[in-house]
Amino acid sequence: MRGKVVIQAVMFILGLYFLITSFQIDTRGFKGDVINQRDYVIILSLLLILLSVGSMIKVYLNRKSIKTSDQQEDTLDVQQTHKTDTEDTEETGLVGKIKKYKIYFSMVLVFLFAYGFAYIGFFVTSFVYVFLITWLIYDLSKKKWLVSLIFSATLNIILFFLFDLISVYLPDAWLF
Amino acid sequence: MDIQSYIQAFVEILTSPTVFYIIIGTVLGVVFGAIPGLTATLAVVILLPITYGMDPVAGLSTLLSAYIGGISGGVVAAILIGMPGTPSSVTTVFDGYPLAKKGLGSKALGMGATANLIGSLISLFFLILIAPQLAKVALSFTAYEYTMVMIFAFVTVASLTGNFFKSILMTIVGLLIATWGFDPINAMDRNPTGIEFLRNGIPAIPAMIGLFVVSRVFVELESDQSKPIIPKSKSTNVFPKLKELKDSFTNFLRSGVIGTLIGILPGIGSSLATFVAYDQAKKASKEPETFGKGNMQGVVSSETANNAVIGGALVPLLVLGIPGDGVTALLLGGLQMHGLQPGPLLFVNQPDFVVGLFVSFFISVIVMFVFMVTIGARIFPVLLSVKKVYLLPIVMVMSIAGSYNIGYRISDVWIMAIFGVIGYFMNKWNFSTLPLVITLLLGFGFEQYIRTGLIQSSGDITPFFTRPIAGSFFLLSVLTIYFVNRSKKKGLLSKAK
Repeated sequence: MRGKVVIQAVMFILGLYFLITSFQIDTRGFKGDVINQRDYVIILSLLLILLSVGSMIKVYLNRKSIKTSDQQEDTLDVQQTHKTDTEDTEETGLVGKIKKYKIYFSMVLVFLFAYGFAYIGFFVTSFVYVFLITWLIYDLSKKKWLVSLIFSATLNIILFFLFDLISVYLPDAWLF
Repeated sequence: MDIQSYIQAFVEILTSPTVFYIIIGTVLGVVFGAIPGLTATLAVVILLPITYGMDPVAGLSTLLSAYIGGISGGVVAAILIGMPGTPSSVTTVFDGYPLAKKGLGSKALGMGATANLIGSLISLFFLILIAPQLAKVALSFTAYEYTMVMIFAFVTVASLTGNFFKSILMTIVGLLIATWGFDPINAMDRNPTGIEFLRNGIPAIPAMIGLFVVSRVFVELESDQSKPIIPKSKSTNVFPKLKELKDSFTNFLRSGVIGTLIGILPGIGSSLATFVAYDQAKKASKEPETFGKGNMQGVVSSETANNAVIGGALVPLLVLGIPGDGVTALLLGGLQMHGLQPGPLLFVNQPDFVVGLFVSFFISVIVMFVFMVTIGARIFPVLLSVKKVYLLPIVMVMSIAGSYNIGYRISDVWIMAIFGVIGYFMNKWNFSTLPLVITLLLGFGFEQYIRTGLIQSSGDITPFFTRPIAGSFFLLSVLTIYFVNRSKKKGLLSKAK
């Protein structure tokens, strides 16, 4: 149930946020303006709040059918938990955690890439990123770190010449 | 826009580097379309920043070629491995894969490529015929008509992309996000976050790359990446015989018209077009029981319809500036990047550009066909044996470099990454990203038109409903909601998704 309304709840909060901050918008401007720049945001914010609440009520009213599906999901969860537990017994510590939260770790890597390439340099950051993400996809297998490293190096060498050829500009940074 | 201008544009393109860009765009598109997980959208995204420095005809021709190639390439994986390379090739699997299992994979691939060629040409014919005439009508559009056309686009996109209620929520969120930056009437600052790089609002293209591409990479990361996409196989003897083409003539024509007409409606997309065309081909067949078991006409209907959608989708994009799907949304971004404003005035002020684009469409379709039946048929089996573990990092690096090259701003890369994460979670909780993308692109214009309309009518809302064209679009919006809900109940659309 909680999972079914999480986005609606986020949208409700977003609507409230837009509504509250809309009062900071300066209303000066053309006198014949029927809906000014603030009113427009207020109308949309109220619509979002109403629809989010409506959506949550809709989910609540359909809770019977949701309960059934939740039970099915729970069954799946049990199976998944069992699988994860088995994996955890095989690998614990940092590596195990990274594997478990692979998708979130890959998101962090993207943000680090976005941050790093502006300061350190595109190709250096890209080399580290591609190596880590490839190795991560290989579940940090000890047998695959060299393959990942070679792939990353090769790809970045190709990209270096390709970007030069097709005039892809990159920011001036500390390294390259 | 007479025949002379088309011949002149044809000669100019063939004797300039544009033809080279068209070939590159088409080939890249076909390759991306052929590999499951990579789409026409991604091919356009990768090429978008590269086209920045080109002249508008060359730039947009490259993107359009990638679109045509991307949709066409889907036939490869659908037939060879029973896995649609693009969502628009789902129905191709029904008969294409059984044909491949019977040892007729190459023949099906050749027929599929021919169907792509004919479908594209039928839609190009209608595009050339309809678009300039519609543009003349659209010249009389005022703020009321544009407001209602946009509402119609929002409603159809929301109705046809997943859960209607959820999609409407995303539409409102998109309209709200589009208010960031300066308002279109009084140019007042609206930046609720106070973050400096959001002062000018959210640029649509990096957000689109995040929502379409980066989120897709995250989704793909959750599946097993270590295996190759297909086992290696061989393809020879791909050209269809003249008799086979004659036997398919009615099917080509019917599916081409269905695809074009469905393509014109925003948000419906090629998936539904292929289902409708497939269904009609089955009904018209003397052997309907053989459909789904390896009937070549199933492949023909599906592949003709999905390519015919391209020309149809370009009609609202060029005439009204309304994108119908993700790829046309990117094309709209590409047009804006080159300083071109799609709409009826594009046909009046930039006729050379419009003619150039139509001619490029034709050249790209020919390139696509020649490539698919000659080189493509031989390299696809090899290409499809590449592991996705190597493809996903390449896609991500290209997306980051591409986002930066749109405006040379680091902030664009941040926006791409943030929307990538948002897109992943939207995907996880079954929220379609398309309503958000469409409103990010059209939100500014929508606010401008609705407020201008109200200023002109001194607050009276009746012109939005009583003017003939505006009223018609309002009626169409209401009918769309009604019919889509009815169709969904029948299960047709749920099957298409």
